[in-house]
Amino acid sequence: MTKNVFRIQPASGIPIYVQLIEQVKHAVESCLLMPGDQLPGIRTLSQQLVISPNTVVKAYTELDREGVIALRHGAGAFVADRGAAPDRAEDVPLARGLVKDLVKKLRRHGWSDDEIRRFVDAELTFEEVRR
Amino acid sequence: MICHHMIRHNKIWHKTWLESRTRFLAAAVLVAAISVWVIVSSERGMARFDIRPPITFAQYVAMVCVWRIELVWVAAVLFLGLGGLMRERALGTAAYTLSLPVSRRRWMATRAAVGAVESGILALVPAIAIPAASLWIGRTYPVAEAVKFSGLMMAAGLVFFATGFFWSSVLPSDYAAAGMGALSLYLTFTSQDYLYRWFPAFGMSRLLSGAEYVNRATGFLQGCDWSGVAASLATALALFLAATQIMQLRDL
Amino acid sequence: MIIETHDLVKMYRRSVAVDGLNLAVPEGSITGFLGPNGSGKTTTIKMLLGLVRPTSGEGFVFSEPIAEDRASVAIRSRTAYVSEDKRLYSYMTARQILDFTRPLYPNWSRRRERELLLRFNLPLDRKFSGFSKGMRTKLALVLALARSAPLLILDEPSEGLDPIATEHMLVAVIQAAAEGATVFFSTHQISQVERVADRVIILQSGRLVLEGSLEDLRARYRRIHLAFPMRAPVEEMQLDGVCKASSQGHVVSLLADGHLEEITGHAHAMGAISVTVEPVGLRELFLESVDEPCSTGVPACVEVEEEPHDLSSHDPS
Repeated sequence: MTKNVFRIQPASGIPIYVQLIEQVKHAVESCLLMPGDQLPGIRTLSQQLVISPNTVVKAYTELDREGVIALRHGAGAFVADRGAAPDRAEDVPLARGLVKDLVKKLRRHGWSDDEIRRFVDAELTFEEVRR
Repeated sequence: MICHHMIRHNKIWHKTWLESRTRFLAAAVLVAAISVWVIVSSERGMARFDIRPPITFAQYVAMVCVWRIELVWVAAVLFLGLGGLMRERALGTAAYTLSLPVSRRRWMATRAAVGAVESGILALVPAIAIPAASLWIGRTYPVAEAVKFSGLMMAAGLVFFATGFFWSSVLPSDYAAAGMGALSLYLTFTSQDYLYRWFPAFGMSRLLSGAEYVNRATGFLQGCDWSGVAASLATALALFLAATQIMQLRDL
Repeated sequence: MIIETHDLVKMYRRSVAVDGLNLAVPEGSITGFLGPNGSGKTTTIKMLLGLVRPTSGEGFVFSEPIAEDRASVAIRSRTAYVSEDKRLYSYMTARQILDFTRPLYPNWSRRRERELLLRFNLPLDRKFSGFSKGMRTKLALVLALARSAPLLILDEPSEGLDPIATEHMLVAVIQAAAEGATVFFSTHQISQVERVADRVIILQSGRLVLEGSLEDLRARYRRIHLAFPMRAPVEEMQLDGVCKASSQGHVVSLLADGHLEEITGHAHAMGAISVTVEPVGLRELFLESVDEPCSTGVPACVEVEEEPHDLSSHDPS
């Protein structure tokens, strides 16, 4: 299942564990992963993606801490119930709408898609470091 | 547990044997060939001795055949001593060999032991070849007497194997080591008269052929220069130890 | 620390191969060892394994001193090494070499040996002299990985391998890491390090120029492009946190290690019309580190995580 769900870009400069966290969150939000679904084991995932097991551990630990998944001793990693992040599902269309408006506005000003993407990336990277 | 231990060491011996096998077999053929040749050509050789009473077969063997065979044997074991870790370095396999959980000391000790045994076997080749070749030309030569010469050659001559072993640890290439070994041989045998005056133990060819201990009448060995043999063996040991120590400090 | 060195030095007659190296490789980590040719990587590895004697300094693997004979044998019994040369005994077949090596390692895994042989598809009964470069690497990998050693030291493990075999190799290495092995691999393939490694060590001219966890480096370093209306005042952009500064026309390009707010604030104050901040990939970081130490006179941003240690040749200002 995860063969094509997770895509890692090692050369992007974004820490791999961050990419993994974001992709798991995205998969949960877009219902590719449902509450109760089991995530691949650390060993399995690291071998499938060909990344260090320590990276997977770090991502899973953080996801567990944020309540997105639940690590159960000996059993593995499972997607947490929606109860842990209650309003997320309703927030998504709102967030999507905001982005849609922004993109529309920037396109009207003549910016290409690539340039828009770069603005967003730069802002996020900048934000992330400032945090 | 012990079985595992033995298998592990067995592999080390096996590898060492495989690496010297070709040279050993070539040397065996060479020594056998020279042994047969000197016997087969003995008729002609004996005829050249114009003395009264005429030279006996056994006397001829002691005077002419022995030192010819010994020269070949000495050169053979010298070259048998070459190889080892320095050769592996030149070949590129030293990195693998030395990354194994086996100490350099053990590699060298194994090579020295295998080489010593091979030298001994090579020394015994004439002990069989001479009597056999003698029979072939219608003469007899007692195996027991031949074995005595072999024994002397081995004990006194191990130092030449040690010399090859030593040079192969000091010099980076097989050719350089062979060259130095040959040079050592040359110096030993040509300078010995001079050295013999000061260091009696250096009378190498005298020692090897047992010249002073050959019974004039029978042509057989009677007794042995034990101190000379001891000195030679001690030198061999010193060369082995020096080579091992040098190898300990080498970068590979 | 599985591997630790203190001021390790190796001098040859006319050159210094390793110049006061301080390494610290944590247990269970996957560390990429990068550096241009001649930077001392192979020499360092050889010293760790007892093939080469250090000129001065000391090193420890599994807390055993590398320069002591008996300790070195103990180290090697728990280490799997793939050498740069990957040359094995030409008079033996692959099967014979495996049979020869197997008894030397009590934890040898027959199962893994079979798996790897299957994956790499090696002709077991061909003499090693008939092996191609790629096959030699594959055999060396099988010999190393089947040992189930707690430490893997790999020098150019993908040399001569096609992309599929490289993938097999990386997966096998990760498998070993997942089972608790520490991996230390030296390579020119920066992409491999970026993908698989937790930590990276960059060597140049025998000295450490960069070390740290990959995530840490990715989080810290940023490339900042500043566009100015007129000539770029590059000298004025040499602030705290700026490792490298260069200018081209009216654009200033900075490699920064922190202090982003101050730098961008200062840039705005200097009249920059646009500020672009981008992450820095390992390749770029590598090229910047080994290019020239500090042509602008600004100290290179090198930091060892555990202890404060000045590793650059310049004094920090």
